[in-house]
Amino acid sequence: MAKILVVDDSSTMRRIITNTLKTIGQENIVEAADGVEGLATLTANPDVTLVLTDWNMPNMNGLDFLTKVRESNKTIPVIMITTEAEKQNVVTAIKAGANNYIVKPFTPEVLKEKLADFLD
Amino acid sequence: MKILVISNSGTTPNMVRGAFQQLNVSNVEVTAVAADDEINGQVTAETCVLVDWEYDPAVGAGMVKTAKESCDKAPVLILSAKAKAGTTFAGMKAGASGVVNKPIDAKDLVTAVAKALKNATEKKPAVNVEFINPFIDATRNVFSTMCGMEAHRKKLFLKDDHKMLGDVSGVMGLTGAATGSVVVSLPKALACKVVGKMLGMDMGAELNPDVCDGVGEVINMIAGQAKAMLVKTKYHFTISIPSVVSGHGHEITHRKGTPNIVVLFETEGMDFALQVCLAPTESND
Repeated sequence: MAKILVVDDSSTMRRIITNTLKTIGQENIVEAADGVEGLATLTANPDVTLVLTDWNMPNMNGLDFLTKVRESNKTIPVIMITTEAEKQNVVTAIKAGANNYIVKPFTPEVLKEKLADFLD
Repeated sequence: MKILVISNSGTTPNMVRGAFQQLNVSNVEVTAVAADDEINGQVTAETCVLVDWEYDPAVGAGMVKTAKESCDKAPVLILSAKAKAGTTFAGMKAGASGVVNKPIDAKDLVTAVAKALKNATEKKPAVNVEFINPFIDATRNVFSTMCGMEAHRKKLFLKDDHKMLGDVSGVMGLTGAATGSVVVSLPKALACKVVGKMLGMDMGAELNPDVCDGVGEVINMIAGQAKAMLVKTKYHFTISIPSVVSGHGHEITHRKGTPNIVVLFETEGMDFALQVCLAPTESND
């Protein structure tokens, strides 16, 4: 059973994502509002199996968060969910270790499709 | 300075005259009619029309339209004691240049009339709006994808003042090759509906932190989409964290010397505004 960490400074976006996850049976979700909280939540929840993170956030942005995660964990899937839709940003995130990239705005169908490979 | 007041109250034209007298502004000719069908060619490009908005929004908007049809170049201002977002949007959509709150503050009124007449008569340089379509497309796409709502573009105009048209506004500062800001401003009822549709739940009728957060996310997505569409142009910018401002008549400053473009949209019977102020950074140095 997957345990998913959702990192986004917008409570609305976190709720949109968690609502969608719940429609596909994913109820084991933890949340964080920025990269700093995200790292702390990961430490407190070593059983997290998938991370979804925004890019633009206060305190620590999603790219820095991803880089920090990869310093200690090379295998956990990390998916960027962001408004930063330019090709260059996608390349930057993938090079930093992101496993996939979802551009906001998105439909629940797109979110489910992109997560399918990373869920049981 | 010529002013035509459309009001069914005898008090309002006297209050207007009193405001100019109070500030010792001479050469002001204030005439009054009780209804728009009495205008009879009294409006010229040098006349500022004040519509006393003590009417149903449709009637008030009709008066603004009649004044503009009489002389399109004449500036029209709304005088309103209850300038709710709905009133403001209806007036601006009909062609008004701005709103002056009642009870009338003499300085506010005189400044607004002088500015409106100056803007109406002075020759303006052509405004380059080639960057606006990505913002319009992004707005439509965000509303459609996240809320299942069709946003229809209604009107585009320039706006000088800092007063927002809605009750709550999401703001994104833009920096980089181009500098400025983009704002989405919504009436309270529409903000609650939009965020409710995004979350698939009823958000009630009042602004609360959840609704405000949702408005911030809306402008975040609009700015992000437009950014991607403007890549490799001189209007390319970077975005950071959105902010949200609320309260009727709230103000948000925009970059001085840069045209501030307002696009009015309508969705599900309600209006909202997108405000874009953007110019290549070099030109602002």
